[in-house]
Amino acid sequence: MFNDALTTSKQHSARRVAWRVAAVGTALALTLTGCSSGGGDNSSGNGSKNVKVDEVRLGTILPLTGSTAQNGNNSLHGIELAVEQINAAGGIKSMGGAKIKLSTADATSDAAKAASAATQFLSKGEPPLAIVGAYASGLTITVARVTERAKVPLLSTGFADELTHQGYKYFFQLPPASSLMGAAQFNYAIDIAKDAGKSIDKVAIVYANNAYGESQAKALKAQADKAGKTVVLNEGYSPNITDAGPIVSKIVASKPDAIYSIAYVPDSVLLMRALKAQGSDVPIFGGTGGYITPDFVKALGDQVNDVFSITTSNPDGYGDIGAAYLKKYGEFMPQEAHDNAAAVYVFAQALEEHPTTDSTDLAKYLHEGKFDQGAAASMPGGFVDFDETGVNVNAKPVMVQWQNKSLIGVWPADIVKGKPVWPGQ
Amino acid sequence: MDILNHVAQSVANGLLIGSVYALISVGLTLIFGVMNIVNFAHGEFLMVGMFGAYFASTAFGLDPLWIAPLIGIAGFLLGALVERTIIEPIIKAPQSAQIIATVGLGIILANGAAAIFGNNFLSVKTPYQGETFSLFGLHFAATFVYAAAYAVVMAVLLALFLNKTRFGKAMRATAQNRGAAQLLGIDPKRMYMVAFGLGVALVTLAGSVILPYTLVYPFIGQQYVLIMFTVVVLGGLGSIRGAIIAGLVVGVIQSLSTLLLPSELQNLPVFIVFFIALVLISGGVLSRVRNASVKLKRS
Repeated sequence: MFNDALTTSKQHSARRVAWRVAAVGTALALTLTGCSSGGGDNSSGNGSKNVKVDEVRLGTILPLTGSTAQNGNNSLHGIELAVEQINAAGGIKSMGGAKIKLSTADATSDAAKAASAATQFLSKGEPPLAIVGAYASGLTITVARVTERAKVPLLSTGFADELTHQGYKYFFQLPPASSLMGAAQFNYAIDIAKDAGKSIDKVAIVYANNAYGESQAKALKAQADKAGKTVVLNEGYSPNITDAGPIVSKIVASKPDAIYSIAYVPDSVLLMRALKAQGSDVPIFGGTGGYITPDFVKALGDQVNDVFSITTSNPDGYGDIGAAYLKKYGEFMPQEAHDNAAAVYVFAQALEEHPTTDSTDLAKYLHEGKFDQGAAASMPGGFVDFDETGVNVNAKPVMVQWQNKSLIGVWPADIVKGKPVWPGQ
Repeated sequence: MDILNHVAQSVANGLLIGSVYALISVGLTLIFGVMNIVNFAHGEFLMVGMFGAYFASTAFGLDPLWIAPLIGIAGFLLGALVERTIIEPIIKAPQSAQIIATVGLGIILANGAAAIFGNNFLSVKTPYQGETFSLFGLHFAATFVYAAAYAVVMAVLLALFLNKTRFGKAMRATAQNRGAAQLLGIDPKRMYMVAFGLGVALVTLAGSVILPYTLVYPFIGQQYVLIMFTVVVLGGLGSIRGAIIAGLVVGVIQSLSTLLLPSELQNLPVFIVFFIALVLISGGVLSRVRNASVKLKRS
């Protein structure tokens, strides 16, 4: 069909160029994932030890660019909204009405860059009193090392278990750890099926093979073995897939009673579309990530109905801050926005009850207090309570379901109002 | 029988996705073949095409498949403009300068899109997204079938353009020998502008065509860039026929590998083949065949 004479004059250099192009192309693909744009930091010379201050500095490090940028930006919206609300209500009253001054750094979606962003953030000007971040577990792991060394409390919504297994004294995890989330995702699904008169015996587990996906999948597998269920498929995939067809073929071929999926937005949408195209009607239990985002419903419309997901807080219980978020951003408050807002409320309440300008002192009080103000009150159980390892002992996973294109908390019955609907009934 | 069916289905899926790979890569090889410039911003032009298709289709309520030709035309104009303003001044510069220029352009496009549109995942809804065609017991997702059909049509049109039109022949002449072509009255600057425009047109059109089965966000170009370069280098830099065949080969290898290997390793066999091709065969798989045929013609 083609005469293909485009290269005949270049035969001699073809191999050299081919190698060079291959090398540069590969290097590009590997290094350019998420180009940092840096965060806007303002350093004010406020080094007073007096507890009556004009402002308290709160930092946030989030993935604002790259593959998890959207979750990072949602988180930032939640944090900004919480800061706005607290400042509008008079700031930290016990510290003379000190206002929270927020500064932001971009962790990108790359763990190595996240650590250097954190280092830069903490070495520049006066360090913040505490930091909220860094959304993704993979990023939080590297950021936590930096904040621990700098002795600055890191209030995190990362799930990974290992975060609280390091003996860190300045790390605080608001949501339940991955292992709890995985176990709940598995067991709640079994309970919901039983409640609907169904049974789940064969399960398929598919996950994005990053820190978050792998640790949660491991928990699911362990739970399945414990419950004596057959895992007919246990498959990881690159979070950068551009086509979910092959994975979905494997899912369909394995004929499961339920699909457990750990995915971010792009892969969750690709999976859902491919499942529909291959005619699957197997119930899907997502593991937070993409399954509970506004983009998920925007991309899929009615197709989201009946899909379940485990999450860290009940989206139809977000109250005032949820309503304020909807008004300001025109979409429902995502889980990561809420939980990060809760972290800001924890920070503010800790200072309110224990005025200090010393990070170590603040960390000590964060371990001692119980926090139930604002968004912290809409975390499961109604308050946040950290033990000495930084685990929120009060955290409890919630199963939500898309019903009429809204996220409704459906399990366990003692902390939610909604009722689960078994797909196809 | 069941296994045979699985293999057949995998090959079919591979051919569908492979033709998409060919379509997104062919512009890259065209630009290199004519201009000897590697456009590292090619993935970002795909993203631009996807955003263009998204906004055009939501604004006018039209399917991205209908809008694709218009996106292609807009892409052509954008490509021609970029060639005149950014590529033309560095056409004779050292290769490192050209790499920096196109890499920089890619970074600006991706981050520009992030600044303008935000880091959101956007996608369109079309009525056929959940549909499947069945043939001989095999199933084909409608979105992929339409994208593959577009790829075939574009390949035929491109072949006709390069082989049958005066302009296409002039473009090939420029690729073969710029000096001789110029002596015969062909304006190479015009050829370069059109070649770059065509390359960008093809990839932006591809962006529009694949939008129904995927979603768009500012950094999606990076997901495709590795595949693009694999296809183009495997096919032999500058070889359009090579890129088309390599696209299909990569698609089929990826798809077949998932039968045996975990999904997370789907690119491993592709890169093994890629590596072998680089080590064993100078300038891509097809060069051996091409060299042979050149010799044949001369004898």
